[in-house]
Amino acid sequence: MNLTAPVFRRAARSAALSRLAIFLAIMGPGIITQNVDNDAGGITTYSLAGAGYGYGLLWTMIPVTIALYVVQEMASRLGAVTGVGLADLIRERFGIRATAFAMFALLLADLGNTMAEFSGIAAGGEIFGVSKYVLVPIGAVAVWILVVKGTFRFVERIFLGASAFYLAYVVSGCLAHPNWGQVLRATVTPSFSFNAAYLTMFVGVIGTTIAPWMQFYLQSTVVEKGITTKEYGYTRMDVLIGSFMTDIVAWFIIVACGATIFAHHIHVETVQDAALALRPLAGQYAAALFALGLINASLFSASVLPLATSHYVCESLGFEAGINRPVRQAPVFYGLYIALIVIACAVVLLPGAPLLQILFLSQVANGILLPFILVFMLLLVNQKKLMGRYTNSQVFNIIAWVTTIVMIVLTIALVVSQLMSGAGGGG
Amino acid sequence: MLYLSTIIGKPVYDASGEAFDTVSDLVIYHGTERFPRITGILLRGDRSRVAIIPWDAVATFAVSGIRLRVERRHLTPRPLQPDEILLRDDILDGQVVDIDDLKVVRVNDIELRETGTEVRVVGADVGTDAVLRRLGLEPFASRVLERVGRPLTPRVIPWNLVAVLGGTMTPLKLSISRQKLKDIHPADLADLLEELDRDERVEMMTALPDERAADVLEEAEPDVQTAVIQELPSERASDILEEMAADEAADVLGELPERRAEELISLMEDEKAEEVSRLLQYPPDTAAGTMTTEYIALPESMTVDQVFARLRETRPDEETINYLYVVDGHERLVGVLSIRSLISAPPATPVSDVMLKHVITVGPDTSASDVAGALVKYDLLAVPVVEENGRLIGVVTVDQVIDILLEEYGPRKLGGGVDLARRRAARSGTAGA
Repeated sequence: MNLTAPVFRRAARSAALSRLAIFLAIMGPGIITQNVDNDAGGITTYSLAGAGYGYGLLWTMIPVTIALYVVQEMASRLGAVTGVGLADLIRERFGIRATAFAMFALLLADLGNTMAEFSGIAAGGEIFGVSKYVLVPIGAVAVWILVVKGTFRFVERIFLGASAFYLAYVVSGCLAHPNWGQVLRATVTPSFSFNAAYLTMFVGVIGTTIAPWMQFYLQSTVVEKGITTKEYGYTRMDVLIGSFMTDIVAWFIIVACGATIFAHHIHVETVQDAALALRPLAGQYAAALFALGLINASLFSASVLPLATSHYVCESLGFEAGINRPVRQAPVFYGLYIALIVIACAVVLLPGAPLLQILFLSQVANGILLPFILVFMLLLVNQKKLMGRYTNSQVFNIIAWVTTIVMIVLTIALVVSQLMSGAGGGG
Repeated sequence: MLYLSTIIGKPVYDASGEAFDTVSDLVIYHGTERFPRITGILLRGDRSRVAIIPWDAVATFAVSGIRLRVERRHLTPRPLQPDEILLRDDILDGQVVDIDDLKVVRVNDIELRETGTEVRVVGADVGTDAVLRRLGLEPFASRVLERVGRPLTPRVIPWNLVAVLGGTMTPLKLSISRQKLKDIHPADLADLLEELDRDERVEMMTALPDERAADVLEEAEPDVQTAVIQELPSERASDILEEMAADEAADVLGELPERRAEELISLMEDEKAEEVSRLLQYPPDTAAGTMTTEYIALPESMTVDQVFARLRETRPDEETINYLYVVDGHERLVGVLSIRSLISAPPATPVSDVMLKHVITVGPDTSASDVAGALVKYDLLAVPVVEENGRLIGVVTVDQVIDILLEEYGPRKLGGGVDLARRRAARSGTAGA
């Protein structure tokens, strides 16, 4: 009697196929996180990097990709081994002061990110000639409806599909006929310069690629998907693919901007100028394409980020959280969520708000706040009691600690150089 | 008021009055006591080797510090016992279940009380004021909140209503969890299950007896079902699946990776395994994929009093007793009986005389939404699923249809209001008793 045969009916035709099926089922956390990561702030920062320094910052992409993979792998491993989200884990292992501190850093970074998302919507609208006073409130309401009506899961696919927009940079970068020899040389040749603007850009590029919120988001998604150490191998693959995808897109954005904006010595003053990088592909429609991409990325991230942030803060501090609870039951959760969106919108709607600066400097803030979160992750992932045999390898520890220390040193250097030059602002 | 957070870090003096170390943690015996006693103190210096100063050595215990009755060099630290837990390490900042309010809550502080020579744990502080107290913001924040007319209300759950889950599982700890969870409705436990972390879920399911664990799992959301079954050891998982209704078990197994499903089926009793495997063959959104195989089928030769005797003997569930199906020698459906028609018939009548011969049926491939339509249209509580040759293979009940309809059209979660009303009734009931 073969009892097991019927079970085969649902998947399974061959071992390879079934392995693929498992991968497809588990795939997602890494790749989706990375896609949310390429948000308005990200596009802007990479664009400014290419526009301001040509290929000068291309070399950072290799170490940044390695660091991104290492950090994201740690987050997903923490999730798979412990079955608990990062914010909760910090609370359970380091107590309430550490949690309050980490959550404050996260809240600050994500307030910046939320501002960046709404700036993205505003800037995208301006390219189409729609006033930000119209589009930003519409965007905020759209996000609210998506989230509260629970239609987000459905729309998520549309957002994800629309993020194929990034391919436009790959094509545009190629069509701009950069000097490939020069590009590749720049990719493997580190260079550095100690001035405030360059350092700000450097921190911004790292901050937008390895943002603090991503670690929380990825770890929670891994936990929610019920991934354990058994399926963990697939998740690692997912994270690896995600890390490469983000950074290949980032690399092409820098190349495209370097080959167009930088090559023609154009100074980027508004978000619209950054659209020039898409000229080789889209010609006169470059601005429209750019605006659509920006709005899509912004809406996608604006639907995810403020909500996720309020969740982590509330759960770790012991407040009730969740969009399926009535406002009366979870006042802190809704309060935080609404505050994030309202403050972000209000700042963006200030007359003459510098959208480009908001988009860029919020990413610098991410970079400055990243080490605080990384230190917690590193301490957690090395706890034998928590991780058993899944603690960090020596290589991972070195890479992650170096990343942390580099970010701290860069931040200090940034402050010092700002003080020395006495000039404020960046970009 | 004495709080764990205010004791931690306070100096410990020995008999000579020397402050030689500070408090790192307190130990309780996780036993049957409603308000457990503190059995020892972990000093900061002993933290790494987890050596406990036994409670006998304590002379006074106060917010200002702990005085010991012996001199430092006469202290005899002992190791942590298997059923002892560290309050700060294992409970503070972790999640526990409030078994009165049926909620998963985070412990912001632990309230202690001195009773004679002992100090006992009396409650888990889950209020916002505890968060502020530990952050050192309480005086300031409470003044502000009072000024705006929204003072903080303390929220302390009495310790006898706290269930600690997760961490290391010991037999004693499991039996206590079992004790604390025993009066909670399976549907409520299923809701709790959703909010718990992985380890805590495993402990809860391990603490429950098979049959109750099965009831809880039946009520849980599909993703929680799979997660739980994946985490439990195979033997235990298959025991629980075996206790579930075959159709529910099949639904869970259908979501698992095949190799795991095969393994679990092979561990089940032959009869149940066969039934589950058969159900697994049907596509999930059809009548056959939805139906339960728990129904009552009677041979047409039976008389009314024989039926009653059979029912008394088998004691069927309330969901299955609405309709009794009558089958011929080849398991073909020939009629249906209601309890009402049986009651009003003379005892010696053969059921074939009382039964309704025109039975509304659906085929195995009928889509689930058409089945729902049939139930709604004909006002039925259940509809039999019949193969082309007339053989009765299962029944789709109105409960299952409601689940299908809710999944498709309804809000994600129902039952909040009902839940509260029921519990309020229960609580006023206990208050009166």
